[in-house]
Amino acid sequence: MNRRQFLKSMAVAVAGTAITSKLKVTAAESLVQDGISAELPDLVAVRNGEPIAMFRKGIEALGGMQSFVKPEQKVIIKPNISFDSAPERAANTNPELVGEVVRQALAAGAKEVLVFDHTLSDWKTTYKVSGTQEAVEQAGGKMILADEKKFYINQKNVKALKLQETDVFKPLLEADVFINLPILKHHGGAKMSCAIKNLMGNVWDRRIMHRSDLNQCIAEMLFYTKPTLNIIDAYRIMIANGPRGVSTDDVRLTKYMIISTDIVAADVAATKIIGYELDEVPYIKIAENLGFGKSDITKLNIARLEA
Amino acid sequence: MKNKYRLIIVAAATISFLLSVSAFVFDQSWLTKGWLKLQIVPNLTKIFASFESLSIASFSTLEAAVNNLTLILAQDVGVAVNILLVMLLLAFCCGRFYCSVLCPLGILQDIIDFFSSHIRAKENRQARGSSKVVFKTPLNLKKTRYCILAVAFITLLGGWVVVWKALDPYSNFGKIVLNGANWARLLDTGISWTGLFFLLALIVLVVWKRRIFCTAICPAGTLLGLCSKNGMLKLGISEKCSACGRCAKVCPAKCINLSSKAIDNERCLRCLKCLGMCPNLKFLGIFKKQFNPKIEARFIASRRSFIWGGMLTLTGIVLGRLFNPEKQMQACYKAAKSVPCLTPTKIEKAAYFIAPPGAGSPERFLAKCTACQLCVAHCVGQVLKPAGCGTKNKFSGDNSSIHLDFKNGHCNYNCNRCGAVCSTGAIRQLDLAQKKRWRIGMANITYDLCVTITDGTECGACAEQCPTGALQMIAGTNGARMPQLNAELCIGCGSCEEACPVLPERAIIVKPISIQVLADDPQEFFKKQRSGSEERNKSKEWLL
Repeated sequence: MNRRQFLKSMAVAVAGTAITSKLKVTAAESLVQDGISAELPDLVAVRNGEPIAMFRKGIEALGGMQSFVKPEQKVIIKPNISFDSAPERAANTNPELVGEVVRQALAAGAKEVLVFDHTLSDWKTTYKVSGTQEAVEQAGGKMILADEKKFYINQKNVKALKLQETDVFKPLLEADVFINLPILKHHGGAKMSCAIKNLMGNVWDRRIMHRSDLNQCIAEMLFYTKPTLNIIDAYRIMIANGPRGVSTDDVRLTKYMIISTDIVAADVAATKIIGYELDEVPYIKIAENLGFGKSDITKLNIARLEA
Repeated sequence: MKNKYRLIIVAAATISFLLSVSAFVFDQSWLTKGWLKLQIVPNLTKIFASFESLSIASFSTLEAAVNNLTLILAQDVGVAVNILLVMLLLAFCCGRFYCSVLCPLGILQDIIDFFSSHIRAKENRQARGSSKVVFKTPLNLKKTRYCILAVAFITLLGGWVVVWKALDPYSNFGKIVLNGANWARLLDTGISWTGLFFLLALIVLVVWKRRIFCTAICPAGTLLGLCSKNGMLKLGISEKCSACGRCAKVCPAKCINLSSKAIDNERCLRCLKCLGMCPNLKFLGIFKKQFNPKIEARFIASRRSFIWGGMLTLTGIVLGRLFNPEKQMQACYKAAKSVPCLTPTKIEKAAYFIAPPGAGSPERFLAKCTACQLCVAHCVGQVLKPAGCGTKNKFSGDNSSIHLDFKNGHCNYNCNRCGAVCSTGAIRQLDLAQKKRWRIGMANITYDLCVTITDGTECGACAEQCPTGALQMIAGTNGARMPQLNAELCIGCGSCEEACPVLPERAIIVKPISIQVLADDPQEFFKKQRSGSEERNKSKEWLL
């Protein structure tokens, strides 16, 4: 199948969307069954499976981990592990998933795989209680500390409007591959926390971002750290009291996962899963205007897979 | 070292001292909850702290908060009583070995003494030079130490640990270690000067009269001395003694009286420096008496000293009864007859600093805490600050006690360490579920400073951190969502204050409250609010 054929079938899919959503699904599924792998999808959505199974299925559709991680490369993974709460509370990225990503990165030949987050709760308890430390170490990766200013180096960017300088986590700048591994959740300040919002954990001073137009600053984080790949954990999502959550009552089991290199598109897909309008999450539009991706996902090649 | 007894004591003391120091620096429960539990004063204050559960329970307003605690406390008190009895029994059986082997401040004095010994060595050479050696009968200072002990106990009965706070060897050792650890950058809790002042005073005392602190001032030492005075195993001198004075010279407690050839076993610290120097000085048999048990001492039993002692005792009663901060607090609640923490005017009047979770109230904490700084050393969030340390905000003007400061940290939600390590009973141990609802302060939003109002941009830094969901972002007046506080859920952990990006004066700060209570259960609260919410995964259609 060449590009023209593919575009043709894409047009069918889009037409299908216009008629009914039911038809849309069938069209998309038929696309998958046709095996459109001649060109890799822009965004992969997987659903109805356990986190590890969904990830395996999804990354396969993107040509496997080896298309992102080359042998002897240094890989850094940034899950969202902000709070000292258990996986069921869905405040942190699913530890099993983090472990699996580490494993696959190592299998693809990575020299070393580092995992970190600039935690909001005490780092020691957070790494432990979230289950991430155990999962990462079992998978052969390394959890590194990000709780002191000495681990960050000052970076400047004149293109930014508000965030013209910030201290960025040093190992992240030194890594060859940066995998962004957020969890989708409600957020009090930014409405939604997902792929772009997760980048706030890459810098030392987040206070200044809150002080000077939060949405603009979140989008401008992309000037400093741009992920190679975004994997969104939407297995369990927090729909209220985010980003920390009060109890498991705030959590819904959705069993979705989104994988994309386009961080803006990934976040737009996330808004659909959690059920927000794009306007409610202003930083996505800002990031698009800054040229970091496309927010109109109907124009993208999306692979929808059942795990 | 020829003296093998002394060798054992030195080895044991070294290990003991290192363990005590490391209990402040390393996070090991067998050190904090095990080793340090052997200290006498914390056990004593804990026993007396348990009396309060009786008095507090009579106030209906506090019952809800305190009821669960009394049970927990009761178990701990049993342990404290047992340890204290064992220590006193040991002192009765073989003397004040506690002072030479277990007391970290005693060992510290021995260390200072070791270094200052060359000063005395010079003196001794001069003494040897003179033809006639005259040994003065050493000071006894019996009245002084008994008065101090009496005042200490009377104030403690009144519920106030003030004398122990000032003179307890363990607590003062803690202050010194915390200051030292801060300077050595092992800990970062902020510098307070109390430890340094005490250390300087101690050095002066040691250089002047060696371990006079232990024999004349320390209330714990006096208590042990009373037990060992007529104890089972005594040190004694035989009649053959030629009064050469070698033993008296090495004795740091100055308890050897050469004119009557007797050793004051009440003051003897069992350092065993004298033992083995002379065959005439040895442990007597079980319950054997010294040939001349009369301890002549240079104290003046005059009318003046009697009046002085009486005055001190009276002062103790007055202090303990009238000026005890906790008593004043209880009177205040009796008058209020309601839970005062929810009425803002009361907050500003009564409370002036944020006490650690489990302390009950700032006043109670002031009355019960001996300021050993163990909780400060082990605070996960590093928000517990020593007295006189940390920046003041307009609500907490006074920081004359250990207090919480949320400028650079917050009270960790999943943590109850301060209560777990506290051995004095000042911070009662809460189980984690209780601690998560334990209100120690109350957040207060100044909307005139809040970014969402002044700049009209989104922020939500405070709501983002709030562990109980007390802070929610609601539709604001200026385009951006603004924070709203649900006071019933707020536990005053300071997460919001720490996160607030508005500087120097933050738009949200935690105000002290006059009494700690259980806040509403957030899970129950939100369950009621969101009973009919839909499942998102019901449909078979793709959400995107």
